[in-house]
Amino acid sequence: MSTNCRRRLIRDFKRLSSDPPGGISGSPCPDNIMLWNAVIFGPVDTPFEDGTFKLLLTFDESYPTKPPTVKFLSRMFHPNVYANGELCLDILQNRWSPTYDVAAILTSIQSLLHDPNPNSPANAEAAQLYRENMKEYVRRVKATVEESWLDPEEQEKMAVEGASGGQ
Amino acid sequence: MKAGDLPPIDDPEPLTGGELGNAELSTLAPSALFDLNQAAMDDAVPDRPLIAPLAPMSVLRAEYENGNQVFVQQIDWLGEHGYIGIRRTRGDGDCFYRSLAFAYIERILNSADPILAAVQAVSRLESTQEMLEAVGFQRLVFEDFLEMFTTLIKRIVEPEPGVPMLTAKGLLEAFNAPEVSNSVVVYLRLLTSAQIRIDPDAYAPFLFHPELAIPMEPREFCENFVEAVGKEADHVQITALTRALCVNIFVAYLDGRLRTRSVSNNDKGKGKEREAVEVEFVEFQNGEEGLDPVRLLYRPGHYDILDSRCEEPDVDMEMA
Repeated sequence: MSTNCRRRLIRDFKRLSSDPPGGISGSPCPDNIMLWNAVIFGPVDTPFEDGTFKLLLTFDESYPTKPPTVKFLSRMFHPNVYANGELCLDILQNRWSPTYDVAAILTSIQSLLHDPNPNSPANAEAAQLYRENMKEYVRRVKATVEESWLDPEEQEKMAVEGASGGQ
Repeated sequence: MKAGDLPPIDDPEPLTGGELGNAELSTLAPSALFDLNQAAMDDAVPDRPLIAPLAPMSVLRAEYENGNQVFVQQIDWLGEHGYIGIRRTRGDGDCFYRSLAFAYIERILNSADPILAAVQAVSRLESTQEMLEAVGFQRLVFEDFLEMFTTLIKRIVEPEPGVPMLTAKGLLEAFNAPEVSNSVVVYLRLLTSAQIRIDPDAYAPFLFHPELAIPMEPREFCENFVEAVGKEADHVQITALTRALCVNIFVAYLDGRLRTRSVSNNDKGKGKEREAVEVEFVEFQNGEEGLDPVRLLYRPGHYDILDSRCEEPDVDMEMA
């Protein structure tokens, strides 16, 4: 394994645990430093307030030259988040720079929550509601906030029920 | 600025929504699209090493023989002027930085006093840390990259235990190891960015979005087109980086254009104009003394290294 990558991940973790930006947390899996679990707390005064959204970050040897893959584990309703949890964020794709560390990635995602980019929609319905029907958008987001408090199994169950109920 | 000369830049916007009319593409997640794009680009340059061994210019010429003849004539012009070799780099958007870094170290190896040149380069590079910190980069973000770079140069003077002295062959190997090669590229990107950010007035008039041609703030320009991996360098970045490194660099522009030129008076005594094929060298002079300038070859969207040799020196010659 690349020593550069490992050293950097250890430093990222040190920085994130000693000087954590508000509303985010993250740590590597105990048995695999290349896999990180993270939580973003929904920013206050936004529809996402009080949500605890879980994410998985997957690094490979090329970090920090290449970005990690980042995915929401919690179900999201957001213009820039795909149904499978992947997100559309420039710094994770074509604007990556090794100056971004895990704290910076999570902070960017946090600010994306309250400042979506409707021009680059990953969820067309969320993007449309965000533009045209804010009230309904907020209602749908708040539903995901409540779901985010459940543990993953319960959440999955709700998602299945929600899907069958909607048809 | 020559926005049109830049390679296409991945723009996430056209890839989303249904307007594309390509349902298969539009249903892909951005990361999948990115991978697809990356794979397509990798396919376009199959197995091209990050930095290739020296090759004769005729290899490049052969690629243009059935195309634009001005290119062919420009390649011949280079050959006639002593540039008989080319060291090609992978077209991954980092080629300017990688070419410059390779040539920068190779020049130290080949200098009259490699130890002195190496010591000077290391001290120069280490002194740039202050500038990076002054513009707000954290030491922990850049120190690994810098260390990788300086460790490589220090191998010219005194390698760490168990590591061989740096030779031409060793340098080529190091630059084809992604971890080393990309670390050096990243440090040069950060250094370029720092140079622009610390002296914004000098660069602000030249900071344009390469596609939209609209002016950009230094910070925005640096984040998007300097620090970001895979974003090609243009005139501004070259000016800033060579200034930060205090290195002279000549870039030969292989652009397929004919130039109108007045024949010099020394030639035949007449000042008449004619169409001539030649290659323009754009010079970035930064007052460096003692070493030859770095010479790169630019073709629209890509940089390689120019050389007056057409094959790698063999080991015996290196020992001599």
